[in-house]
Amino acid sequence: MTKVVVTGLGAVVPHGDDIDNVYERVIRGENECGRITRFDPTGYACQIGSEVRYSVEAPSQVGPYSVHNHALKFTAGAADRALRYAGLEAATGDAMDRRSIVLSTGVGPANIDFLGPIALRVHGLDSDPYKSDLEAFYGQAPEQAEAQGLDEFHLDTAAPLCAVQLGAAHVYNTASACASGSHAVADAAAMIARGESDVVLAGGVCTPVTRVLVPGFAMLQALSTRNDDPAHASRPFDSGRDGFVMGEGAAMLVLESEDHAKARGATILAEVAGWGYSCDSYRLTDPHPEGVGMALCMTRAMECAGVGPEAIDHVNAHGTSTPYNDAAETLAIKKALGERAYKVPVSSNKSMFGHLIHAAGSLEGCLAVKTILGGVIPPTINYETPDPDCDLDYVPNDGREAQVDTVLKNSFGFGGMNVSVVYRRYTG
Amino acid sequence: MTAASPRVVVTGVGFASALGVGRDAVRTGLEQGSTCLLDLEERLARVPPGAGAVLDLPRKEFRNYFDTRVLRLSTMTRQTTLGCIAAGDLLVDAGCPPNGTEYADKGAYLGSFIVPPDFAKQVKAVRILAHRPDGEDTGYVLDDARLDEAMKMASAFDFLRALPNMPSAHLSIQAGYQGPACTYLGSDSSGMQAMGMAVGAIQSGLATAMIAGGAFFPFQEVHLAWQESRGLWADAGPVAQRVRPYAADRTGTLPGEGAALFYFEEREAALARGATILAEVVGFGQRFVTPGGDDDLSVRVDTLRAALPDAAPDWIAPLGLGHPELDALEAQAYQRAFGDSLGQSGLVTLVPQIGYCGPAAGPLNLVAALLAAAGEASPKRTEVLADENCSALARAMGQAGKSGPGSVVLGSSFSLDGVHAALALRVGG
Repeated sequence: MTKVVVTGLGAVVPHGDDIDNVYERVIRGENECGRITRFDPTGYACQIGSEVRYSVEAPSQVGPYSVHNHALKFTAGAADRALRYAGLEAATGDAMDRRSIVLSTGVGPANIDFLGPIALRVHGLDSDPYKSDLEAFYGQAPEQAEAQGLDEFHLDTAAPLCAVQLGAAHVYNTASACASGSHAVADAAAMIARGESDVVLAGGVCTPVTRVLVPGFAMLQALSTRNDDPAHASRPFDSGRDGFVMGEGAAMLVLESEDHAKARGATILAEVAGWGYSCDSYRLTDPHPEGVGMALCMTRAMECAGVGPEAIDHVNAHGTSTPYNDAAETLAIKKALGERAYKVPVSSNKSMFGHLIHAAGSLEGCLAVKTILGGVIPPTINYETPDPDCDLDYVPNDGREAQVDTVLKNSFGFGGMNVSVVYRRYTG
Repeated sequence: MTAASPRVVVTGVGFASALGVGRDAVRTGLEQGSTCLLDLEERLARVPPGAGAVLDLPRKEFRNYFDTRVLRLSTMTRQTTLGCIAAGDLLVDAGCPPNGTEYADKGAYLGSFIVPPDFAKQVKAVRILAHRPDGEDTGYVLDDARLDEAMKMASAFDFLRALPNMPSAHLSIQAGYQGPACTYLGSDSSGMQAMGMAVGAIQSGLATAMIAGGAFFPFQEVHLAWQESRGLWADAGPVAQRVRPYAADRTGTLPGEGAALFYFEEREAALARGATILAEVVGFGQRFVTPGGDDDLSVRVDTLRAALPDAAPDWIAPLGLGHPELDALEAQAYQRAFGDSLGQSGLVTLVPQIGYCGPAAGPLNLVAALLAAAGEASPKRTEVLADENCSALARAMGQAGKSGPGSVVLGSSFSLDGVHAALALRVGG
């Protein structure tokens, strides 16, 4: 099987847009969760988010695609940084056929905002609300506002935009909820391993800090409501955890076949040694209480990598900070790694930047690679009170120097969709 | 497909559209050539294009296809429901109906499209949020302070069922599959893409069997308006004849809802369980090009040739939307890819009968073409007065291809977004 390597990392995330610096901040345990500023959250059940609070440098236009909202800025920015990290130029001609995009996008930032133009026209026409709405809408529609609004809802141009940046002839959009970012990485690695592509830009983008999605996920009882103490809201594996914090951003990895990377003299950062998928086939919102599906995908990823539990030096956990996930993941790690589970440092990066949903797996994948290179395992911050159901070594509160050659990265999503990826030190 | 990869076969098909559910519905529809396109009523009558094709299946009959105690309808969009109906049909067709067993080595990939939630509910919410600032004659703002009131329009289920991955999650739960699961999105070709990725998953050893295809529900006001803005809808002629693929006077297409799924299986596993093999996968092609450029045609040709590099198809299943430009590009691509050998091919497109079903359109057409190639159905031949660009495919609509074991079927989906996919099957195996 063709060996798959990582040659580029790029991110536009709450901790910054330079992935090396993001890693430095993360291993210091710096928090980026705070009160939401994208809108006024007063009165909301959850008022906490992890936002990109700086001006993002990104092209305003990529080929025919306008980079007109913050989701597309994150996308174009992260792709640009990953490609520069890898030293790749956009391919042209036949070379494009050996390049692909696998991106997890989910729903764009528009949501209720995109209905604004409609609302402006319908407001006041309330003799027959429904009829008035449609007459106002279709009397003038479809106009650009609606068309653009729905494009933003779909976010369908994000992956094609990346295809222009990379010079790629193949585009896929994955959706496996919170596992999507790692799903994109796993699909990308599988495409290279099967010989279908030489270079794949893989990752995700997510902009869920919106008027609709924040209260929506709160309705699903998935979010922390620790509104008076946002910095400590995301507390994976701690007994006081009460839900996750929505995060936004984009993160991508450049994956290549080893031969292709070597032939162009690229710096190889790490190897994507294995990947595993599973589905709980249990419930839409809750993970299997015994972690069956989670354990299955970890085991599959290790089998794919040709390693056993003894080879795993660190688990980069999904670790959402929800009561269900963290207990089930702990159980699953013990099932998959056996006694080794108690010796392996397990940490959740989400303690510092919340849950980037579709981009979570790819951002944490970037940090897994950086952990192999940097030799410091990021901590799980806000870990104060142990939970008897979560009894592993979660690298509490302080980063830890360690020789890390192999990282098992977990990503689990609503619908019971699970993906694990094994990142390994590249040794030639 | 590398020589070392496991051979992948099709051992079942699932079908749900305005024609009905299952192989009989396809056979009857193909042979009669009848259209299900109708003028729509009530809300949707006011929305362009005001016509389309819907599956008239009483809700109480859903339980014929899936266990409504396990898969709660309140957690499903119509798109997901259609996928589950097709999956129920598929699993019976493949000889492996759900029986409570969990299968670690099987998975589900589905292509679909993010259609915004209920329009009326959204507008009500916006009307609560939006207000004109005091003292102003024009302009409106969204008032966050009113959000709590607006959110009363929604329930937790509204958010759960709208999650993009839900269609494939439901299929996995329905079938008891613990293998890979994913919903592929982003274009009208995502159903065909899901099928290609499923084949790849089996070839990679990630699963021994995958259910894969597409599901789609277009009847949401903003979605229809968006497609109108993209110039998709036909506007000329009586509804029943409004979709005229490859005809010189074609003006566009009409929307339809549906789902089609294939049961892909490692050949050895299928033989081991004594399954009936309908076809073997010959190849898959997928290409992207930014739409509107000089490569629009050549990339479509490359897509077809990637799926079927060394042979000519006996049956083809292009989209056949009836769209002026897209039909011309499609016909020229097939002509350039296969030249005169297309003269022997039969063509199947269900779009004039069931409307354009987005990501499900390619899989729906491919199911029908496969049944024709297998000799299970004889599509009613259609004479079309075509323009020069479309003559090759118009001719194919009027003839039957070779059917029976060994016949080759090629299905394709060329999307407005520039994502193109094609899958080739050989009958038998």
